[in-house]
Amino acid sequence: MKEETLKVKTSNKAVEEHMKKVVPRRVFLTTACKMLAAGILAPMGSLAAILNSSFAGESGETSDWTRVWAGKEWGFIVDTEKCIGCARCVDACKQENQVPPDKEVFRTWVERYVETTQGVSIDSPNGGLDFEPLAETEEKQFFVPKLCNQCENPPCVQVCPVSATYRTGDGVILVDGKRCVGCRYCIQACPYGARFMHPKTHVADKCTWCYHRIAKGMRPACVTVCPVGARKFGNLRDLKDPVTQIIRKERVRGLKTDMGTKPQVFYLGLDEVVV
Amino acid sequence: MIFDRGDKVTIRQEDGNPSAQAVFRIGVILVLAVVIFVIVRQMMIPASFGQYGRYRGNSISENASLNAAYAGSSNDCGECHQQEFMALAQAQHREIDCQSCHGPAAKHVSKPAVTSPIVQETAELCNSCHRQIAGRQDGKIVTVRPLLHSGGVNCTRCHNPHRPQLSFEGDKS
Ligand code: HEC
Ligand code: HEC
Ligand code: HEC
Ligand code: HEC
Repeated sequence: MKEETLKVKTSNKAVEEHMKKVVPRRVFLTTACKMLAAGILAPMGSLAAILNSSFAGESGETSDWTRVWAGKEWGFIVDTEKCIGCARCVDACKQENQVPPDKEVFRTWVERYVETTQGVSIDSPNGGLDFEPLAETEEKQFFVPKLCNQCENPPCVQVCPVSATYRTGDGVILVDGKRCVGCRYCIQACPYGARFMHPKTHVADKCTWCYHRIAKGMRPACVTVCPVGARKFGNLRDLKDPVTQIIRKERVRGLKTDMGTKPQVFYLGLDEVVV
Repeated sequence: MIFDRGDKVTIRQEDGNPSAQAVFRIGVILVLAVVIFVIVRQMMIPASFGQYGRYRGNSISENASLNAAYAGSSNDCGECHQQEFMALAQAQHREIDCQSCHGPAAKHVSKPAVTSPIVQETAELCNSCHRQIAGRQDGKIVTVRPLLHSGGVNCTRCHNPHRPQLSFEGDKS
């Protein structure tokens, strides 16, 4: 340590100038810049290395899903001409997927459209389980079952900040309950309102076309219990599948196709007022 | 700090090259930061992440291995409940799955003695499909007004749920 004493003669400038000499600013700045660049580049290099290792090394130990998915692309048809609004599907879905009986949360629900001279009224009391008779009118009245559209271009997957939701190789969007942090971005992003916050698990929840059932060769629960065949489920890659046949031959339409989401639920007999 | 003319100012100066020391310190901090980053990242990212895409690969199996509450179809019931199965197959309710009325029965199929499916004899069950409400037109399904039709009493008093049309056999049988 060496101490230097100087007398301030004219102004504070003298002191400032002396300080500049003590810490050579140019040297400091250039070195600092170099270190900063190195500090940014080094972790990026290591990141790339880790990414490579974790992407390559893992596969093999669990079941090979790419083989399961080969030649499969699930599709869903809702025939609104047939639906009788009995809501057996709503009930079955809740029981199959342990969705709490709350009147706000549904993986699938049935809407009723009633067109009157005053306009269109849409209701879905308790997801369609509690429809009231209403007054009879001569105008259009019909039911529209709704569920996740398993979009080919899913906004919910795009916005998830932790990659807790994804589209499987056979075209179903699933939620990774262990990774989900419950931020609700996906719920906001879904144009169909198909997602909700699960009241018990507190993670995002949605229709999975009963992925656990279709993986075992069964149909989704709602399709199983529909008494009138208003819900159909099939493999779009199989040209002989009745669902594929309907999509190829009949006039089908998805919901909100103008949003570019490419929904994979196809509706038969959908009125233009349906949103 | 305000200095006046004539003040004495003391300036301390570190020994050695000060810039080299500062650079060394920052270097050590950066290296530490990188090491911590790498370790934390290794811990945060699940092993199966990225196996099939930008998500945790094991999550697929977790979703797919959940238990099914509903059995596959009515065919799973026919073996043991031949009478009901045959009755249903010939009647107007033939398109309806047993579990549409009896609820989830996968557990019952594997262990019939342990759990029984719901047997709901109430008018509520039939009404969920047959009650006349706005939107449910006669072209899609035959509808009734429960109060006018039967005074709202249990439909199974007169109709056999597995073979509902009365004129079919004249009586519930
Ligand atoms: C392995 C044979 C078996 C299969 C398969 C089976 N059951 Fe049963 N089921 C039984 C037996 C045995 C009983 C009588 C149990 C009792 O009375 O406690 C029964 C009783 C019932 C009952 C009456 C319950 C009651 O409380 O009276 C219903 C309803 C029923 N089964 C529906 C079904 C349905 C629906 C399926 C298909 C999903 C099915 N069963 C499949 C053996 C079977
Ligand atoms: C339309 C609704 C409906 C369908 C579909 C249906 N059931 Fe039932 N089932 C009922 C009702 C309601 C009862 C109660 C009947 C009664 O008590 O008279 C019942 C009773 C039963 C019983 C108990 C019989 C008894 O005497 O206790 C069995 C077993 C049964 N059903 C099996 C089946 C099987 C197997 C199928 C499919 C092949 C089936 N049911 C389809 C509504 C239905
Ligand atoms: C899950 C929906 C559902 C339930 C529950 C249900 N039905 Fe039906 N029912 C139908 C369907 C679908 C048909 C066939 C209608 C058609 O072909 O027009 C039908 C047909 C009938 C018919 C024959 C109508 C005709 O003349 O063709 C009768 C009677 C009937 N049901 C009575 C009942 C009774 C009684 C119950 C309660 C035990 C009941 N249904 C429960 C859906 C249901
Ligand atoms: C008092 C006996 C009785 C009761 C209780 C009863 N029905 Fe009927 N139901 C009949 C008779 C009789 C017919 C006409 C016979 C036929 O067409 O098969 C009939 C016919 C029907 C039909 C066919 C209607 C048509 O236009 O072809 C349906 C659907 C029906 N009943 C549903 C119900 C429902 C739902 C309930 C319970 C709310 C119920 N029934 C209770 C006696 C009864």
